[in-house]
Amino acid sequence: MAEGQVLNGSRLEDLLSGKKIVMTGVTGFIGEQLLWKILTDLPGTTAGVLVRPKGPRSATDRVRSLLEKPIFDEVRNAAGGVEALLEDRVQVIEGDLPNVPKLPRDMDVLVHCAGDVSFDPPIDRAFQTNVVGTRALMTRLRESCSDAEGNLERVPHYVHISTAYTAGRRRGHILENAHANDVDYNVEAEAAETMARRIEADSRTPAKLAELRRRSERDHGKAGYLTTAEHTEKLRQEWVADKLIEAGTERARSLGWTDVYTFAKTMGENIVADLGRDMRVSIVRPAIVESSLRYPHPGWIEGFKMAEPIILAYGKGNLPEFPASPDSVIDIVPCDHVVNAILAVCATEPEVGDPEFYHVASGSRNPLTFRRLYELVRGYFAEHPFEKPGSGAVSLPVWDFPGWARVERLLATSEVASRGADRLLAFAPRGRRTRQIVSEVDKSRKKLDFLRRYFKIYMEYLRSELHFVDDHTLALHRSLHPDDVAAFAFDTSEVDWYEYIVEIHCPSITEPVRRNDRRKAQAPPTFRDPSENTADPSTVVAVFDLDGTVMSGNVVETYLWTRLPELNGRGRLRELGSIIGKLPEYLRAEHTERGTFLRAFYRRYAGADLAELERVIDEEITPHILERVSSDAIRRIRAHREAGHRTILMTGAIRPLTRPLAPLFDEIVAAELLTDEDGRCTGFLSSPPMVGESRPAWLRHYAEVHGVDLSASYAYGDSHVDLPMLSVVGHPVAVNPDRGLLRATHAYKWSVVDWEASPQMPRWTLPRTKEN
Amino acid sequence: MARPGFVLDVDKRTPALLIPQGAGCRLEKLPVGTRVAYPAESLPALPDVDEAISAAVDAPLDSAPLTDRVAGAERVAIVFTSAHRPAPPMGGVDLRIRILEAVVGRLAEAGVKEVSLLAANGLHARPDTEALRALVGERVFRSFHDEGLLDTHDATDDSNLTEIGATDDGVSVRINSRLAKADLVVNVVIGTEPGHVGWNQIATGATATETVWAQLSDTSGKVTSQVEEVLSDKLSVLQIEVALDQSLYPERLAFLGKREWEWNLGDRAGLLALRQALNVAPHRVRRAFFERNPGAYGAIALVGGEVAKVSEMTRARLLEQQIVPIEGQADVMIAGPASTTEHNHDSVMNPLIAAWDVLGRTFGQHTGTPVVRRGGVMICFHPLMQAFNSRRHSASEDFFNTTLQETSDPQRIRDEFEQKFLSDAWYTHLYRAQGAFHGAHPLWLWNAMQPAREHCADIIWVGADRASAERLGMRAATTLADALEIASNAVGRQPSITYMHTPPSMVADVTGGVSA
Repeated sequence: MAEGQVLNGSRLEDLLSGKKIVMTGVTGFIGEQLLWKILTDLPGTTAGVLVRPKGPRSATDRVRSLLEKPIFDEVRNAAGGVEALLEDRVQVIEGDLPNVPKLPRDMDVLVHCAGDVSFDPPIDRAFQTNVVGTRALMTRLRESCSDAEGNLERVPHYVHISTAYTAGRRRGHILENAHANDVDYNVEAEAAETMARRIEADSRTPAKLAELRRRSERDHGKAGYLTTAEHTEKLRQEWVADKLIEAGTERARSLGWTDVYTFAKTMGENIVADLGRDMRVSIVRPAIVESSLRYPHPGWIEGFKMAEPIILAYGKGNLPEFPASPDSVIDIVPCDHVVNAILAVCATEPEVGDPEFYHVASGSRNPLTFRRLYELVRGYFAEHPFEKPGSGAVSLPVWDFPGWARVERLLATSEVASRGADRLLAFAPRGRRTRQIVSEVDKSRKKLDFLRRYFKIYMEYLRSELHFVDDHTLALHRSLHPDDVAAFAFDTSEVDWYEYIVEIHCPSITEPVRRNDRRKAQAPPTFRDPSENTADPSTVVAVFDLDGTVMSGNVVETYLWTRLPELNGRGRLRELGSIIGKLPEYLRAEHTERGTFLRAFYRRYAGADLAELERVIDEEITPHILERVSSDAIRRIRAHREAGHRTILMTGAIRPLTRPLAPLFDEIVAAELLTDEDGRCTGFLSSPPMVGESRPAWLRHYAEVHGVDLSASYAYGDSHVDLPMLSVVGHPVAVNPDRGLLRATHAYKWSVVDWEASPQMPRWTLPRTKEN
Repeated sequence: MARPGFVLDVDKRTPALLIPQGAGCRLEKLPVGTRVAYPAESLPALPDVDEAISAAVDAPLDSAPLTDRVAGAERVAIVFTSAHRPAPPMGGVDLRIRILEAVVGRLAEAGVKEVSLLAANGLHARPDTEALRALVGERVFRSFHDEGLLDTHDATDDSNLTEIGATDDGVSVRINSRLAKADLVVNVVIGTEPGHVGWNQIATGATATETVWAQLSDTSGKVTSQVEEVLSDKLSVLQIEVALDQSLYPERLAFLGKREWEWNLGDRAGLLALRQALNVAPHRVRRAFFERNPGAYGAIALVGGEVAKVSEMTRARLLEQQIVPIEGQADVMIAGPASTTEHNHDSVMNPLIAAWDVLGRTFGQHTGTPVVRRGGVMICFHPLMQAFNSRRHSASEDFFNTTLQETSDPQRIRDEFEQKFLSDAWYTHLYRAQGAFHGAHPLWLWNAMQPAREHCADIIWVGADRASAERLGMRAATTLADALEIASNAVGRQPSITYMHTPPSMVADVTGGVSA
């Protein structure tokens, strides 16, 4: 068994001088800093980077923009620009895992630090990157060091970055050596593939699709078929992802690992041991890598890693309790320690066929318990709280670590309550108050979903009792040349947790959140003064929905206005009774598809004289309509006209009802009642009612014919049915939205406005009752 | 003899007094020492209206009888320049119907070829068919309407306006063509206030937008008198004016017009029931309630003849009824808007109208000296809900929500916004076709409030929406005590207070200096 390697007393820059270090994962968190460190502190070393082209951007483009990041300023300027730096020090190898290209033959060290950072990747992806990818990489490595016959001409040094948590569900002291297991990675990788294919196939069975479609229809049926379909597919993909994660987790646990991440990482180590039998191999196992302690600057971090979501959620007041044991150790290491350790390892010369293991961890010599972390983080946020717009500093929860079971119970109860509230809300009347409640329920559900997800992922880690022995790493550190100790430090016992958490890590990770909060507070609303629109006004339209948006009222009410006055007392009662009797049917139709409802309801107009209907509306109903129109809406419509925009009224209501508003619109799209030769309504429409998805289709066509720029245009709607219409324009605005639309506005960051009408007559007053 | 108006000094025994606040009222204990001005009781109504009508038509003042004046006439136009009055509306058969029938009868006897009827409300909302029917009576309506001889004046309809002259300043005097073409104009006027009579009825009722607006925005009165000169020069008018008494309420609500200490048990029960009902009723119902209780008006004068002469008589009669002598100006004037005004028939009382009723109308009704001293404070009662009738008061709503948001300065409003309101296409459409007030309406109300705004150091609304009060450039207070607390900055802790106990309205005849 290897005992760990140490340096021979020379400085690292000398040991690695003239060498070429090829690395994967340079666009990742550790890789980026590794490259920076090589370029900055190892002047005699060149780097090779294996980078995948992404979309239209070639690998070189990606490396170029990487080298333009601020941390590379100094080295870039010293070299005389990006191109010179690329030319002198960085060789870009375009390729991918597992489709690895030929590797340069002059390479001395290969550092493999690409890997999934997610703790819950789908099973197939976990194996793709960690097993299949590593196998392909090592195969190419062998090729680049072999002659035509496949015999090794020289022995390269392969440095594999794994994770300390490959220890899995073991307990206690974990030594720096291979974790004995007899799992066959080939079988597992293949099984993972098979599983993925099966889950994908399962998701496409008619039974599954029907179930998903029904679920989608429940929430989105009103919005139309396309919206439902889109959502169904989204649900399917989510289901597949969930199943793949579940499959990974269960397989890992069945073999003694916490999750598929650590399991696949272990399989990666197995491959390395197998394929690196005749090579020099080192395996570096960092624990939880967080922001840098010193280099490139204190607090340097890219993206969010493991602990941040928890810390940020705490700071936002969203973590009421925590299911960890207070005395459990959270094993955090600063990123620059990991990078420094990797480079020191690169400079060692392990025995051929005897892999060396290095734990880069803090737990055994400088343990940080959850309780201590909590105190530090709490202290930080007490000093530097997140501000909620309009309500001041966030109130910080107090944790007393009641244990997993209690937290789980709390969570489960809250979830049941949240689901119940949501179901009730479906029946709540529309209004500002309901919208507020919907927002609150949504917010709490989002919070619960977050907790559920993170607790599920981290539960194992929160209770871990692992002590990563880091004797090899410590010995390596102690062999650093005295002049290298400052620049290449990786002794985690020097970390002062107060300084690290409170002064470095927390400020660093909260900064982007604060910035984002500020930006969100100033987020440009989609509801803006039409005169601010810079597009050519003649290419801009403003589309308004009628019922609920421009006017308070609905088709049933307006029907009653138009029909009841001509009936006598008994006739009215009969008509009302018949509508009430049919109410369940109408409601059902309304709930499934608005078009169906309108068709069904408009049958009631059968027999009405259209000319008479128009006369009644002009003479009797117009005042009622105008008095129920929201003045805010009128102002808005007129503002659009003043700005030179074309205004369109788009409604499922019958056309005669739009007559009072005709002067405000350039175009009115409404339902046309079909008449017979005597001018009497047949109860049918001459074309389908313009609702839901018919609207965007109409708009797109209109835009094409009239040269309208929809992305500069406006739409105003009040209900979920209007969602497709709102989605096609650049400035969608939700007016007094219902539950479904309100959720969409949150998702898409659309503006919500309240347009109120102040009707002058009590609701039950019918036109013409005055004179009767 | 009717009891004249008088001033009550509030002492400890004075009961809580009724204060109007639009569609509703409240009882308020006023500070001891407050002076309460009560309107006079109505003058006795004419004993025989038909006789008065006959006299007005057959023996007009300073004029030949109607039949003589129309001898050989081709066209006669009968105009109603105050179709929107009175507010609240008149119960029973409208007096105008009786006048009209007498007039039409005489014209028929005289063989006039074409008699046309015109309801001319100026920039007020044009009456709709139903209102016209109520105004002229079913019989006349049927015979004139279908012939196209019953019309409403449209101040924006160029095709029906004729220029008949101009003022020295070049204000064109354009008038409804029916009047311009008529050999004789018979103008039937109903007035409840001294300002409701005379030439200005046609001058502001039947002329073009710019002619009306020039008069309304001229504070010197020069334009008005010149327009009236042109009219008297060019038109032959027989004016019939009716002065109404103060019976604004039907029998069952009569206690609202009574003095509080004279309420009997029935009145108290009625008030209790009313207050309970109004407390729970939504504002729409409250408003509808007052609107459906038309006034039991009587006529205190009905005179026909030459315009100036007639209006002199009716004005004197109205003044006689409404004048209330008040000794000395007060530091604080308390008032509230009536339940219905001529600006919000059938509509919610929006903040502009509420403010107009108190600051324009009540404040302005005096014989030369306002009730409150310069630098004093007005305390008004109204919730100032931001509710508008989006059909009738569309322009006011926009004015309140956009213009006042930017400025309340009348000069700036005149310079930057006036033209838009006067000529806006949508307001014009609503005015012409949908029974809305003219687009100039909010400016008109706003201008009418200016004298009070300039005169007073503070205007405080009790129980009002704070945002509304602020928008109007005024203040809001929760209670009268708070309002007085705010007022103390301007008028000190022991201000003299006068409460104008309207409606009915009164004309304050303030004598002497500032009272102690």
